Amino acid sequence: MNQSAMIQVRALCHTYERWGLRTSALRDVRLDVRGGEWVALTGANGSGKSTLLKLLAGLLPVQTGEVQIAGQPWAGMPMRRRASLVYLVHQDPMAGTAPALTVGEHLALAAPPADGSAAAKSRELQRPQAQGEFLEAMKLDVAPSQLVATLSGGQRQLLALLVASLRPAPVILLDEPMAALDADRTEACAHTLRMLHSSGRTLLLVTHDVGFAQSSADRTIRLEAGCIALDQTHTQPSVSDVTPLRQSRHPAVPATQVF
Amino acid sequence: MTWLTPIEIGLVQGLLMAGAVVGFAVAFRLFGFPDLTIEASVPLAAGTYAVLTQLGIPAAVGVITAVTVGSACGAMTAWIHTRFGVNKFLAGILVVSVGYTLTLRLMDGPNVSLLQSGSVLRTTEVAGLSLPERFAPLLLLLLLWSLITGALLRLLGTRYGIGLRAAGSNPGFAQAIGLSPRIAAVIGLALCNSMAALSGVLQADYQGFADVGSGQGVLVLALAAMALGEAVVPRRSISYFGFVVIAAVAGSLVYHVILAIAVRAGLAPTDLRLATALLVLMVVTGRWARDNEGLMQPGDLR
Repeated sequence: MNQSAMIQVRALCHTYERWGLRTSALRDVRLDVRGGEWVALTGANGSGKSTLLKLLAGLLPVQTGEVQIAGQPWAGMPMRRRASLVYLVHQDPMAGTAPALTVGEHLALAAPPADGSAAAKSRELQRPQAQGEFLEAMKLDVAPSQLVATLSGGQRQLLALLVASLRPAPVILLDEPMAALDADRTEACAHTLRMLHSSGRTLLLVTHDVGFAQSSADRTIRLEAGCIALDQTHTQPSVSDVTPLRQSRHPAVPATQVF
Repeated sequence: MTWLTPIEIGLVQGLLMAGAVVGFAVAFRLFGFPDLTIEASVPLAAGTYAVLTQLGIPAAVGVITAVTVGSACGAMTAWIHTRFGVNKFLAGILVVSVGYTLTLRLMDGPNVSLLQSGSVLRTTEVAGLSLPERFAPLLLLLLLWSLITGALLRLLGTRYGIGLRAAGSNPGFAQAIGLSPRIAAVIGLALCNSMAALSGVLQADYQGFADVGSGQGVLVLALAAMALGEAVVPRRSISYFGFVVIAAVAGSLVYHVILAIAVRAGLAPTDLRLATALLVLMVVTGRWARDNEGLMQPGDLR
């Protein structure tokens, strides 16, 4: 395995079973994402994007195959250790925030306990004034004392992203974070994503916005019926960059299909 | 003077039971756990304190032991729920059943008298100061709950307290930032039930006996007091967790004063629970009517 990869996935399969019906969500997925890389994950509904993200976030158990994050095997890793490596921003703004906490309490809790280089920033974000300045800089127009239950869905989603930005996790997974946002909030969200990318985080963004993926991400991966159908790097956007993939055991669509 | 006495009785009773109301409200509103366990932790703690006092063990040791036993009941409920996925209500009912038998076994009967041991709350000499006999329990209880409420508010405002509240408000979010919702639930319910247990101890000490039936009706009392408190305390200008705690204490006082006045006015003690249920219904329907007129306050979480 390539040791420099931040995310390594080998022969990953996942099957849901309900009422005796088996649905194959992921089939023999192989994926390498370098540290600091921004990968956009696209595909139709039901193609396995969210399943892949949930597996990488540790919200689903690995059934078959292997997942490594930062060179460490994912299976059996304690929850606290996982949380220090990976943070998932959900599609649903309600899932990523706690309604009974204030905005400021989210920031105070998200900033890791003071240690090493993060100490100053962490101490700083325990104070309401610093929290207010941070929110203003990140284009979230709410007061630190405001209860999250009173925020709009868009404001909550932006807050969930800010929480992600304060976590020490080197890998940030994003499940269509901009799906429910208006134009202004989409721009604020994109700004936060670019900031996360420039700070060296590894981003895996599920999106249906192919234009945004091509203009912002380093690479686009397209899933079709649980298989990787396309892996395209954007630095040289030409047809020759479209990497033909290893033939899957269950090729649902031709691997050379472009969008 | 005729009306002052029921107010005094109401205030003392309100302060005696404030721990049970705060424990219930904090578990329900802040830790996301509708906790039935207080119906076990109140009588079990009272029984533990009474039995230890009868054995001649110092009151401080008795109180600490009883509060620990009460908090263990809460921890057990949370553990049964988080470890085995048992419904929160069922987990509470199981522990209440176990607690009932334990209390009977511990006391070796349905009640234990403390009349010969004397009451800590009726002490009239504190640190060289002599308190007026009539107001001594009221003053001591006021001092005690001021200290406990202050400490609780301080704890809930720390990073640790925020973590406990985060786990109650959204366990998935808490887990994502590296907190364990399981451990938070166990610690949170242990904390809430330790306060309910303290109410049990105080009540036993004030009344001069511990009774296995003292837990019955505590839940509906806590629910009524919480609903009343949330209706009378203004929610602006204080934090949400501050509002929950202060409303619970205030609600316990208001509820018991109303009840004492109602009894003085001729309400039969046998009808108390019906009156309590009607009171809860009145507050809830009043709130429903207000919310549906579009007057819902921005701080509302319902």
